[in-house]
Formats: sequence, C-alpha cells, structure tokens
Amino acid sequence: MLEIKNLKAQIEDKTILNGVNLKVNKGEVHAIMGPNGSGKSTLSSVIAGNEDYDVSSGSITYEGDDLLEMAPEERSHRGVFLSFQYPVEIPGLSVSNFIKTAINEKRKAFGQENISAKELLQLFKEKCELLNIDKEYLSRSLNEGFSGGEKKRNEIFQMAMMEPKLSILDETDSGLDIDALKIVANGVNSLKSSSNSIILITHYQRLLNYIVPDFVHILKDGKIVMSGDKSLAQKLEKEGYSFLN
Amino acid sequence: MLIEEIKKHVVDTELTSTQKKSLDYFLENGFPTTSDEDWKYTPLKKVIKRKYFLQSSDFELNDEIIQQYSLGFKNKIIFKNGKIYSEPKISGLSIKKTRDLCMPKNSALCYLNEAICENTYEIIFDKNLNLDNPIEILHFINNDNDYFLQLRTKITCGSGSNVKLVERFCNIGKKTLINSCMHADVKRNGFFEISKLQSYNDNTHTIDNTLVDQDRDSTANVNTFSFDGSFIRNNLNFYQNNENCTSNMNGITIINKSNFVDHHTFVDHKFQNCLSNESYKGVYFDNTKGVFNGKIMVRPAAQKINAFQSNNNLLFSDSASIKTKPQLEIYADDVKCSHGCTIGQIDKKSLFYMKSRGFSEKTAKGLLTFAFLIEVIEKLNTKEIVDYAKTEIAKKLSIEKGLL
Repeated sequence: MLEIKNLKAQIEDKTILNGVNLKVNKGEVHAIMGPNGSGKSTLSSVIAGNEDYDVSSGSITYEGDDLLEMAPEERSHRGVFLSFQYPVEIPGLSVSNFIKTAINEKRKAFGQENISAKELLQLFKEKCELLNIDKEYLSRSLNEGFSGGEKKRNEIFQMAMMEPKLSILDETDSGLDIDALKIVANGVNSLKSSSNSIILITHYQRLLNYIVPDFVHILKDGKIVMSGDKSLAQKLEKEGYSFLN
Repeated sequence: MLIEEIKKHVVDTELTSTQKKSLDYFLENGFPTTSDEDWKYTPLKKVIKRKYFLQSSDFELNDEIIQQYSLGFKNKIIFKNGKIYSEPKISGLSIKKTRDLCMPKNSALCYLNEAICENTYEIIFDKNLNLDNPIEILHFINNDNDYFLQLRTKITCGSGSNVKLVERFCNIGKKTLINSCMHADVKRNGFFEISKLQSYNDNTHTIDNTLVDQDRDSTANVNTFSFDGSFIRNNLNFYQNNENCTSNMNGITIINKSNFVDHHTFVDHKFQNCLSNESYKGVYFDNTKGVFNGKIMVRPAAQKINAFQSNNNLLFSDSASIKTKPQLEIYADDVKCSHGCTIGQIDKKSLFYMKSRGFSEKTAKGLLTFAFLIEVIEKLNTKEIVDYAKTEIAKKLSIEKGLL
C-alpha cells in the first residue's frame, strides 16, 4: 500500500527527515514512536502533502503511484487520511457540513453523484454511535470551543465517515482521558480491516494497549533506527529512549 | 468638468433660499479632495472628471426588469430616475414629494444634493405601524446621457413603529454617478432597519449618504452589502438624540476586479445608556481597494454607553489593499468601548487541513471565507436578506450556494 524510500525532507533550511524507509502493507498497523523532535509529525505531514515541507530526495509510493506528485486533496480522494495532532478550528462551518462536503468532494473526483441525504444521515447515525458522540454535536462549528479530547474524537469521527485506506493518526492519544482513549481506540479497531492500513504516531505505549500494532518503529533524528513488534514499545516504556544509545 | 455642468444646470432652475445657501456652500468648497481627511483615500477626482449630465430623461419600465432586481417582497416603492413610479397601498404609510427639505449633512455632497435635487420625497410611517415584511425601495436608472443623479429621501418612523426596508439602485443605462442622501428620523421606541444591496455594474458610481436620527428607546439597523461597483462611497451617520438608543451597523464587502469601496461611519453618542454595535467584514480580490473609517464620538453626557466596533479584512491578492482606521473620541468616563481592526490572509493551516480532507483549493478557500463572514451573517434577521447575501457570496467565491 505505502512504500517510503530514503525520504529526506526539510522545512526552510532545517533537515528533519534524513532517509526514512518504511513499508506498510494492506491490513497492517504500524506504530511510529520516537523522542520529541525526531520527525514523527513531519513524516505524517509529508505523507498528507503539507507544502510547508520540501522533499529533497527519496520517494513515497502509494498503491503503485507516486504520492509526492499528488495534491493533498488528491491524496485524500485516493484514501489517505491524516488525523491531526492539532486540528484547526473553523468557526461558522458545522461538523456535518464539513464532513458532507468532504465526502462529496471525493465523490466528485470520481465522477459520482453527491451522497443522498438519507445515506448521509444513516452514516452519521452509525458513526456517532460507534464513537459515542451526541448527534447535537454535528451542528456545532468545527472544533470551535472543543476540548482537546473532543477535537481528537472529531478527527476519528471524520476518519470513520470517510473510510480511508491509509490512516495516519498523529498523536491522537494526547489530550485524551482514559475513557475517551478507550472509545477512540475502540472506534479505530472497528474500522480496521484487511483492506486498510493504519500508522499510529505516538509518544506513549498506552495507546498501543488498545490498538495493537503489527510493527513498531523508532524514529530518531529523522531516521528509523529500530523496528520490531509490539514488545519493542513495551521495552521503550520501561527503559526510555536512552537504551537506543 | 462636472462643476461647470452644475453651474450651467442651476442657471435655469429656480432655487429656494435654503437651496441657494447650500449651493453657495458647495460651490465655495467644491467636491471633496484627497486633502480632506475624510476623503484622503477616495479617488473621487477620477469619478468626477467625466462629463455627466444633470438633465434626466424618461424610459419604459416593465415587470420583467423589476423582478430581476427585486428580492420578491410584495411591497415595493419604485423610483424611475429619481421620480416616484409606484408605491404600495399600506394604511399608515404615506409618500409625498416635497421641495425644500433640510437634512443633516456630512459632506459637501449633501449640500450639493440639497441644492439641486429636484425629486425629494418624504416617506412617512405612522406611529405604531408594524410592518411584517420589509418594503423594497428600488431606484431604476436609465438616462439618455451619462448621468449625475441626485436622490433625496426622508424617512420618518413614527413612535412605536416597526419598519424594515431594502434599498437597491438599479442602473440599467449609461454611466451614472449617484449622489444619494437618505435621512431616517426614528421616533421614540421606533425600530428601523435598512439593508442596502450594493451590487452595481461597472457603469455605476455611488455616493451614499445615510443619516439616522434616533429618539429615546429606538433601534436602528443598517446592513450594507457591497458586492460590486467600480466606485462606492458610503457615509453612514447615527445621531443618538436621547437615552436608551441602539444603533447596529453590519457590513459585508466582497469585491474583485479594480473596484473600490469606502465605508465611513460615524456614531454620535450624546446621551446615556445607549448602545452601538458595528461589525464590518471585507474580502478583497484582484486590484481592489477598500477603505474603512469608523468614528465613534462619546460626548460628556453619554455615560454608561456600550460601543463596539470591529473591522476585519481578508486580502486575496498582493495588489489588493485596505486602509482601515478606527477612531474613538471619548469624553465620558463611565463607558465601555472597544474596537479592533484586522487585515490578513486565509490561514494556511486551515487551508491544508481542509485540503487534506479532500476539499479543492477553491472550495476550501470559499468555505473559510464564508466562515470568516458568518459572524455578520448571523446578525441578519430576515430570511430573504440572508438568502441574498449567501447567493452573492457564493457567486463571488465561485462556490455552490448549497455549500453555505
């Protein structure tokens, strides 16, 4: 599904990713961990197409095509989804209208009709239940006045509504209390299938108790320095990043 | 030059003594220039260098044209080149033509208007008249020659009346410079609202002077939508002449090409326990220029007043500009006043967020711009006006209206 080869990226003149290699197959869950400033969020931004970052070398192939050639919206249409670490607030735009438009923009890209009101309502109902979201919340302005936890839950709600093939969850666990974390993890788990893949970016092993990864990678100084299975995360939790030295 | 035309025009006109005085004042002062502080950024010179004629001609008006410009309200007051063409039959509403009508003035243009306007009307809403729906005031303009048109209306809202108006200038003819003076006199406990729909073609230049006098316990709302027009200057003045007055000003400006829109507002807080609330938002594309100058005067007796003002602007092009200036003069000590001006661009983070959800650049920018404007839209209380605003905004932002 996704293959990253020797990816180097910089912001302004500062190199942040310094040769990342990563292969994610269909149905897999990968966790990327690493100390602050190691480049985790940059990696997710580059995959999603944030133009603030310059890719100086390397490649990202997604479903056989050059992902770096695609505009951010095209990546989204093709099934790439980034759950933001800091989702933006858009006063005046309701959650429901935002998601409806996102779904229709994707449909338009594939020459399909807009989603019918009935279908949309059904989908809203289903996904609200999945994530334990009150329906009134759909008419609120997107992320405006949301607590940190609500914003994160809203990201996963959007993910549930858009049914992406590749989801990157950038520190979705930060800002969530334990109950919310369980709900969100539960939601993510139920969205998991053999045809989609998930990349979890996290600081802590805690999330991985609920969403169990197939692979764990450690990113340090812009490179993946170690890969393993879930036991690697447990080792990290116990010993900290110092064991890498 | 236009001033020569004016001189020529008045030779054959019999003026009253008030008109004569006003004319003298105007001729002495001339058109405002950029050396006048209030007209510093206003390219009026460019507008008045063209040769306009003051003589009006007649034309045929039909329902089809009227419908084209109407928002569909049942009651309409229609003018043709400044002359009344039709009026609704509403008990408690009377419209009469008058000659010599003195009004407050906020620029030399008002003196000129007083001196040479041949079609001055008084629109009187009786006390306690409560209108369920707005009345549309449609000015149709179509002259044989390029035209300098004076419009002059006094609106009296009797005590306890509830009056909503929608005003639109519809130029279907040649190049026209409109100099309009409207004086609204809102009596005790009256409610007055006017929505000005400024979607003009390139042939139309407007100077719109609106002056509102308010008596005790009255409310006056002026909504100004400036969507098109190569030259628009709005002078909007509120005079709170007694206690417990509320004055609301809402403005939405979205312009493109080389259009120019200038909002000058003034609120005169003279008495205690009053409120003024001003919210103007502007979106500037291409080579457009905007001006906002909001002056709030709080006189010594105006204790315990609240005055809020904000002007927020988005610039969509490197060659667009906005000059914005809040101006507060406060001579009372127990008041609450706030003001704020911002000029910025669409937030890049928000734009990326939306694109990453599959929004095209155009839709993302459009919706973010709409979200920027929503605060003003939410203050509008008439469905048809909200609908008009959304239609025009969608058009301007090239997005489907259904998205808004």
